[in-house]
Amino acid sequence: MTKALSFTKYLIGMFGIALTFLIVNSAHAATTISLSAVQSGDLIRGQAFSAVYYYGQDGLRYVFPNDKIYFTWYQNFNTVKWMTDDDLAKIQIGGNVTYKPGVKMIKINSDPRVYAVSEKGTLREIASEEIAKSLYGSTWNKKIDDLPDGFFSNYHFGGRIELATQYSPIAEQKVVSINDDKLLFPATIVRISDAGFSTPTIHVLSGRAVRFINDGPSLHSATEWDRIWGSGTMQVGDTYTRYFDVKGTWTYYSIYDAKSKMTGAIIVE
Amino acid sequence: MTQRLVLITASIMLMLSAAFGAIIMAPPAQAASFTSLSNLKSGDLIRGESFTAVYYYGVDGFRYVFPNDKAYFTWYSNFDTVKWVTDADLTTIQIGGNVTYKPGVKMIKINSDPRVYVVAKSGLIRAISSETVAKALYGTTWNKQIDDVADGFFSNYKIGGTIDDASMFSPTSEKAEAVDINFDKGLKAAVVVSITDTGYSPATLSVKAGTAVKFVNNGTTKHTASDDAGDWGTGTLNPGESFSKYFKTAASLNFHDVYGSAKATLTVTLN
Repeated sequence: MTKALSFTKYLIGMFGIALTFLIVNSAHAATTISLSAVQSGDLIRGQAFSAVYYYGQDGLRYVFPNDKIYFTWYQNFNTVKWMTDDDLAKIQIGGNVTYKPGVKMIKINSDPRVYAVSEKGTLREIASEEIAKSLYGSTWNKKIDDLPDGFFSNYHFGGRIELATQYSPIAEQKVVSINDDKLLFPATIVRISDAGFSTPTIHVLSGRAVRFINDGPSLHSATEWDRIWGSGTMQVGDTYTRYFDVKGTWTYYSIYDAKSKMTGAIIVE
Repeated sequence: MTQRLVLITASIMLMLSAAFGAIIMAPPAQAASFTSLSNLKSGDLIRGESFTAVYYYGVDGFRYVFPNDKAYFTWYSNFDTVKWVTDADLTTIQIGGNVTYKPGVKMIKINSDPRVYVVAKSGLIRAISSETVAKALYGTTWNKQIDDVADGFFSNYKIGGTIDDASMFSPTSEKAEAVDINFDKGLKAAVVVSITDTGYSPATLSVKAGTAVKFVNNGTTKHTASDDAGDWGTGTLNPGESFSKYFKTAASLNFHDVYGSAKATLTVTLN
């Protein structure tokens, strides 16, 4: 049996990785796009900070923890759209983008194991140097990135790669977008108006998101009966998105309206 | 109606000092001695030789990362109790996740969102609806008690209901209740499956979803616990080695030893 692939030599370099990834000082934005013009799959940034986000199909923005991860998905910043800081703040953070499958191998500095990346941030340990070489060629050892410990838990483990036939970098790279890699789906939408919730009872699959939109003209909220979760005060036009993972029924109301008039239920199945 | 609490200033610079993925300790003297793996106890703070990152050793046998020094100092006031382990030993302890802020100590925000949040148990954060509420909870210096959390660590937290009224949250009782990181995260000891040259013990087990199972090779030759469907596995375990895994969803899982004929069944139940 082959020895576990160990790689202490390549530990350096971690300190070059900035915590949140910063875009090269670019010329100032010619224009900012409006919130309603942002589309699933767009790259977006605000004005005060240079961090770039991926706008997911679920209406949430996803953080690139560093530039190395960004460059597994994109070659440059040409398509980044600017938004006002106020608008950016209205888009909730959904999570972190993980490495694009197949592009690089990764490791952390307190663990000598080298991992290949598969869909949805699945890490698969590479059992030996021979396998790494047959997957990534003779320069395989230049294709390993160090991932800071603090981002390691964005990944989960899949089966170990004991044979080169168990993994194909080329096939893995065919995932076309971060939406596909994360398997994001559009949120179920509940519109709130002074008349009430548009669809008072909705059914959603476990692991999917619900998005509340306040159409106004008054202030409203979507607040869980026992205040376990809630949107807080929603101004006209504000949205609030939440993922529902556990099966069961949630009841909610608007803190600005009579419970008798405005309640809703989400049945997670 | 109160206006949403907005805090754009004061919060910007902190992010850059939040350093890298792991907390950096002040250069200490060389380790007096190393603690062996078998002497580590749940709740210990540990570090290796080559790197200064400090970890929390959980009751589940995993180590937990402090994403930065600010999160560390909500739990500890110094590094006096940190134990050194060899790099080789540190490697054998799997990473379980990140430590979140101790409840009640500080408020947090991220730089691309003006909302200010209090921290409750298990990294649950709740937006504070107004300055009045913030002041009632944290006193007149409330605006000096807000830390910026880097975007990349924001998803370590879960968002709970908004705090519209000061009576809905008590920093003092949250702090008092959060006795340690094990409690905060709800960690429990792992269920152990022993592998010997004659098979698994137990060979049939049932655990609740959200429990860690630790597979330990107590044999004299190599063994594994490998899912029959190929979805997970321990990889090759040499004698003395172990591998832990959390099982989070209800399932009936069959696994086997690729170096032998042993088989076993693990049932994961919902509560």
